[in-house]
Amino acid sequence: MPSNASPTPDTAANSAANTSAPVRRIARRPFWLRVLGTVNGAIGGAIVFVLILSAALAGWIAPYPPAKMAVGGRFGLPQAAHPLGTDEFGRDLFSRIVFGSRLTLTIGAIAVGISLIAGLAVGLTAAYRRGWVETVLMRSSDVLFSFTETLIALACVAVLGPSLQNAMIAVGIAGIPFYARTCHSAALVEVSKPYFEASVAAGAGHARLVFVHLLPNVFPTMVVVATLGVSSAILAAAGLSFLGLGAQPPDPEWGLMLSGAAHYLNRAPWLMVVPGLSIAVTVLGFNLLGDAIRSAMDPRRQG
Amino acid sequence: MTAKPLLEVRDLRVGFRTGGAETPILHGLDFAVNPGEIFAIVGESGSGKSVTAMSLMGLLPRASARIDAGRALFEGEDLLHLPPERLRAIRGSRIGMIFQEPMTSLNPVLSIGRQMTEAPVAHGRASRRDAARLAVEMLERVGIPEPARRPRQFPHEFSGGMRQRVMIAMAMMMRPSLLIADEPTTALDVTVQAQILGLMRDLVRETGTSMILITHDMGVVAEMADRVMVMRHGRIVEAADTASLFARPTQPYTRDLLAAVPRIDGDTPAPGPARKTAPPVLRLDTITKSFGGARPALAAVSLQIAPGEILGLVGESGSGKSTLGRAAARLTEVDGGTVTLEGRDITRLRGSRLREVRAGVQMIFQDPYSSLDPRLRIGRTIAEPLAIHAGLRGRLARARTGELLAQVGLDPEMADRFPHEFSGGQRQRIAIARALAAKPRLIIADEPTSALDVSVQAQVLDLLGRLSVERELAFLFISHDLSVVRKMARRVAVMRAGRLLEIGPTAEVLGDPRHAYTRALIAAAPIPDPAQRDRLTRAAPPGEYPDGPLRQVGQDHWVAA
Amino acid sequence: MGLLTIFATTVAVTLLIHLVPGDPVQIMYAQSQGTTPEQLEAIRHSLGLDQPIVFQYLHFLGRLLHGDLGYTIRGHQAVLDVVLQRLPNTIALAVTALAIAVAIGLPMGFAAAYWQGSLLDAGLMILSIGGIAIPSFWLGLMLMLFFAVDLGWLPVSGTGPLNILLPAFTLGLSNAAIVARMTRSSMIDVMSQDFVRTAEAKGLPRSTILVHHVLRAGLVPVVTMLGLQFAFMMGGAVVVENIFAWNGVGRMAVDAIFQRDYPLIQGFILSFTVVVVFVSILLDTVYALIDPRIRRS
Repeated sequence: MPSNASPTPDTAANSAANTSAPVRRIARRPFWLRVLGTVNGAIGGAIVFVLILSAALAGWIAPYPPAKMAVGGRFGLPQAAHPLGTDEFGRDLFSRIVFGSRLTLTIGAIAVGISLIAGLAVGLTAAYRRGWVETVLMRSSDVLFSFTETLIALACVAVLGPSLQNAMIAVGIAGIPFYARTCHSAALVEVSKPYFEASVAAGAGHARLVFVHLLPNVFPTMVVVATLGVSSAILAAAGLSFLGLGAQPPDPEWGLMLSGAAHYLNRAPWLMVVPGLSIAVTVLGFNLLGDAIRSAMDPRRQG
Repeated sequence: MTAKPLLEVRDLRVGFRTGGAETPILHGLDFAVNPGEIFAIVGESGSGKSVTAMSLMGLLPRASARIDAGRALFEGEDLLHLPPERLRAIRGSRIGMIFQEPMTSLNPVLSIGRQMTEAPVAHGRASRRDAARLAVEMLERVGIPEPARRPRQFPHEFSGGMRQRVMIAMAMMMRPSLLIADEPTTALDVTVQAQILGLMRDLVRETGTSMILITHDMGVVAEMADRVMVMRHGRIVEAADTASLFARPTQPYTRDLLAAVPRIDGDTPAPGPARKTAPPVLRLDTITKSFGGARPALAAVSLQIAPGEILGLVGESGSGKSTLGRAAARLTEVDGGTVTLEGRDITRLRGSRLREVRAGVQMIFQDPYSSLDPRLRIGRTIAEPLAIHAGLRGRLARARTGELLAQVGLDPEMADRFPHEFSGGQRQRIAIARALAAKPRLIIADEPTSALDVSVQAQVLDLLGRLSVERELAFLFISHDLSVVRKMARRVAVMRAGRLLEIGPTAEVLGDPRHAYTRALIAAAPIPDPAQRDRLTRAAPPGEYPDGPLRQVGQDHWVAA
Repeated sequence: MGLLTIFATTVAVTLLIHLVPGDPVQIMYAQSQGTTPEQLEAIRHSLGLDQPIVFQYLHFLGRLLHGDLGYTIRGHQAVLDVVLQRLPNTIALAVTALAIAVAIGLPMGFAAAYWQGSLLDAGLMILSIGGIAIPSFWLGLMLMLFFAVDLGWLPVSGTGPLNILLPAFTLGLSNAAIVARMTRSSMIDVMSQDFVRTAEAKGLPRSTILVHHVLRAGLVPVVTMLGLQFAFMMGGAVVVENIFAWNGVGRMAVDAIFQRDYPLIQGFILSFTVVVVFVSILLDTVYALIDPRIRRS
């Protein structure tokens, strides 16, 4: 919590008292090893790695083009030629899932990219400029935040019209208030720290203050937010596609595939299992990875 | 003493698990506490003094700490090997405890009365109604005004000092035979500390309770303790009765520790060459600043500092001393008045003009841990002012950084390390090197040693004093501690509630204080000398002090009327 | 804050129609064949779109104060009537789902915090991290498949007292995982506070400490979170209503977006915001009851 006016002299004495013994130079394991060394990090990292692999090599992995109809019979059960069976148009489900990972990762990356860049810009500007700029920016973020992301995304789609591209933009915009708030509070902590003030007192200019001190110290927090944010962006975009407001047929988008399968709930319930599971595992992967990054950064758990 | 001890600790060994390995924290302690005595455990950070108390109470963190060996016989029972339920029955009823942080030690969502009465009721010592009556009595005993209506109030309605009184009342509800107080006054202002110490001493004397007083402050030990145990790195250095320990310390560590403590009755720096004619490096004229509260943080404060002079600025929390320092460095915008640096009015400077003059005044902050950017190698941190003001980069900057590190007593080879690889004292030296890099004429040092152990503090103070002389560098030395200011500054200013109350030569202000508040501050400062113990004033100081315009009472000595 | 939000919403919905790339009137009527340019012009005029935007906004506010939200493009019904007819269904769904989420998530989170580091804690947290990952629309379909299609215990879809169970559980289960995680971290946070150590030093039984000190203090952030959770539920209802054909504003909104029925979309956004703001004001009152620091000031 930022405290103003003059601080009580001895509170810092208390907090520092436990740690002011000489610190040995500890050879710490590299950051990524610490992340992937945990159970969460290993599982999450593996899932994300497989996803990236499948997206990059979709053309080689998938036996059929994703939209090609009647490569097998309709509603085919899993068999050697079609490991996950075929859908209502006789398309190979496995191929569609593999190509779908490409869409999913693209959605996650673009939506989070929009939220992250805009959120960083708003949050950093507000925390650095203070005054009325901060009031206006953060009040607006608060208002938008209380609208909830769903409402903002729906409004964006309502304006832009339903399409996969618009769904990504909508989800990205919907995320901005949260990213801006998180970035703002992280930046406020840094701005009030003595090292930042010392740099101000040394006569550092805006660029140095923001890019040498503020951004690098806020960035770790935002990496965690963004990693976890990939999951919620994927979920939100899949939800829009499921409603028909995102990806349009014949895109092999997992949410869209689910809504197609929902029509054949009685006839081919297995068609629902794989796309849903794919979304769940992807989201789980990014969540686990984000959690692992957060714990690896938490100073209390550093050895 | 020949009486059977109340508490007898034998070979207490405690270890902490970090990662896979267990690090021993206490290496076999033996000590005893006699009935009715005040037994002080004193040590610097990392000495294991708090761990000792926590192991007796069974309050060590369950996940990481382990008691490896030892016995602690208390009224015939071994505290270290009691089943949890038996130990719980003793906690609170026969052993009470008071902690350091009064602001967080009470539950914010429960009323004071509820928190005071729940222990006697849970221990089956009193009915709810009797406990409530007792609570009011205890609140009155610890000097809380209007005790009858207090039990319905919540912690946030009390000040820090009042909360600590509530904690004491709560701990004494069941008349425990032993009271453990872990740094009970460290978070409090010095005048409040004096009252709380006095209260605790009276209470334990009155009830015959023994007390273990854990502290880092030799002054507090001298004021309070019958016997002292000095600890270091989890071992006992020496234990003796207070008078003989202060008079004849047998161990070199104890001697060094006592020598490092600044004393309010100690020496002031010798007067330097008179520089009356030189224009002041800093001049503040009727500075006012308000943060929107009921009273301003600064109300028309004026002072000046001559080149190479160290001006001490003392005050308690909320006095506005830090705000004044920040205003002088233009880190806080003032509402009114002018800041003049080396003859130039910088109050309204902005942008690049402001950045240029910033080199002239640098800051050193209290907390060594957040004073350095954790993501920059310290060489880069120190070189920052060089890059900004002298355009120095590369090898030249590196050479200069090395020089600066050497000047603050660090190895120039350390420039490539990160802040987390240094101790608190070393970090504070790095912060000083950064301040020096800009070649300032004035440094604002805001409680630069308050977070440091006393032995480290002494070294850093020596360094600052030496730099001031060698470079004719002026300091605004802000501190809550009169003793430290006495050691550092030739001239001292006293602030309270945003106003300057007294300013003048240190020897004169501390030797012959003319303002009632200055007298109260001096009277409340503990002196590490048991022979002077009854000097402390107990009376609550008046809430109001004269705070009108300054009038001259001696050469360079001004007092608020 | 609440008023500011509602004010911002009124501005946003007025602007909404102008942000649409191209001519909104043409897009709205693109699906109805054979509308002549004269008719389009008349519609433009009736929607006030031919006037300056500030005037449009004031006009919109004026009508709003009289409870007039305009008429839907399809079917020409009063927007307010259409919304009010469905809003209670959505609120009922969100409230039931919130109750389910709290009933499951709160005890789970508390138990995980109580036995922190135990197998139970690990199990509950794995369950919750999995729960967060499962998309609500998938969970909904699976529940429907199992309880309605296979077992035939519950109606597949529609609006009615028994029909609410499946959508409410879908929404509630998805959010129970979030509630559990937040409760756990809030409780663990409180357990490491100084005042808990004070309570231990007083020799209070562990159960007393947990119920009176930890739970009481830990509830403060949890209640704050509930307001946000309710908003999530309202948002999540959009998806769930469509799966189970629950006749609420969420289903209406998706249809309206498809049909480019902007007056109806405006009505949806406004009603959604008003409900969320109202609930957060309600929770602020509860908050003040729990936290004495707010009560007295």
